[in-house]
Amino acid sequence: MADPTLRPSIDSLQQKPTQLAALRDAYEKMQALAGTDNRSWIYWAGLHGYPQWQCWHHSRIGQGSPRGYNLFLPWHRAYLVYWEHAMRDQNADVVLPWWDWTSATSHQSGVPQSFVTPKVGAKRNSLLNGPVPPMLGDPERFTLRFPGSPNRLPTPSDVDGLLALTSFVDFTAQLEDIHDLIHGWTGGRNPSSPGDGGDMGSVAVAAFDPIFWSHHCMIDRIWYLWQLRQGVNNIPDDYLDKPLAPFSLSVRDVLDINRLGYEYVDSHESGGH
Amino acid sequence: MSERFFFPDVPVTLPRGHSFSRADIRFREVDQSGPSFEVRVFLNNPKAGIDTPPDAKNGYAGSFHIYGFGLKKEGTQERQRTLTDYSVNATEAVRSAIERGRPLSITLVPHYYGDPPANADDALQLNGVSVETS
Repeated sequence: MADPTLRPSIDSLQQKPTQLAALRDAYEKMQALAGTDNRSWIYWAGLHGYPQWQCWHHSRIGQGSPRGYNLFLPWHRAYLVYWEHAMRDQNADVVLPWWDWTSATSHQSGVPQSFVTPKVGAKRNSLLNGPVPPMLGDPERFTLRFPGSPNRLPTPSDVDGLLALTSFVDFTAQLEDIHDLIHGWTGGRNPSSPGDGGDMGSVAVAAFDPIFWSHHCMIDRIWYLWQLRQGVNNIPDDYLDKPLAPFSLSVRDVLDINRLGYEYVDSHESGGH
Repeated sequence: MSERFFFPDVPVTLPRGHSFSRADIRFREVDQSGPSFEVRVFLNNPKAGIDTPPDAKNGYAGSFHIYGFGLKKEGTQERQRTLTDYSVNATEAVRSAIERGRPLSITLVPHYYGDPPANADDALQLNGVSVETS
């Protein structure tokens, strides 16, 4: 078996310009492909919300389960694995980095600088925004963000509180609430049109924003850290065979990240988690 | 404060002996189809509003975040599939409120992200609030 891919933090990529360049290169190439191409940014981001609406959030009742169940964490883990494969199709050296929104850097500057810089040399920064297909009468465009004040971001102690929870049901509900906060905070509110927010705050279009993937990488990493403490297989039995459509994986298949071929670099951000 | 989000006399079912180790405030069928926003939850504070500090002195029990679908369409099917239940673990706040005497009232303060936060009364729709203890 090949060595697992090591997912790093975004901040650590500042010291590794080759990896940061590979990330920008992969995203630029995906963004340049037509939406009809199943290797494109628009195709893969469109699985989450518009137009394919496959994502899982919060509890649902059905599929033979008498009580609600929540596939938020397993579904997004599968999604990131497929996304990483699509990235690597464009650049074999690329790895998906996590955004530690609890870090001292994030609490000072908010969204990481590498995702904010408009240009890299003479080129557009492919981490700044991503293409959104025409939808509901609106033309094709690029994503927007209006992030809030960094002091509203979660703290390392918030994550410590999550990691101490022993029940998967409690853990996933509370982690999803923090996830929801980050989406709303990053999308924010457009000051010139207060009724409208940025794209990260909308399930329909969030995945078209490049920061979406590193936010979800952080969510997946927190689940992994929780599994290290509370057990890899710590999940209700009736979840195990639930399919994670449209991916050819079930919940059981995504519990062990080593079997999926990746690991998280064992590092903590300064002042973060 | 909007009267739409003030719930007087919220029933609290207490276990035998009235002692409980956990209390969750549950929000039924919250509409997720619109924008994203945060909902702050206050106990026994009918006047709570967007400027009320979220602290124990004001009956603050916690908050939950709506990650909205961002749909502007009013199609019934679209709305129906985005109704979700939320809960806030508010054990200490509920215990403290009950100790001061029932009935328990709950005030919800929805607000959009940003500095300062903006009132989001127009965004919140839900079908009920309850408190569950165990």
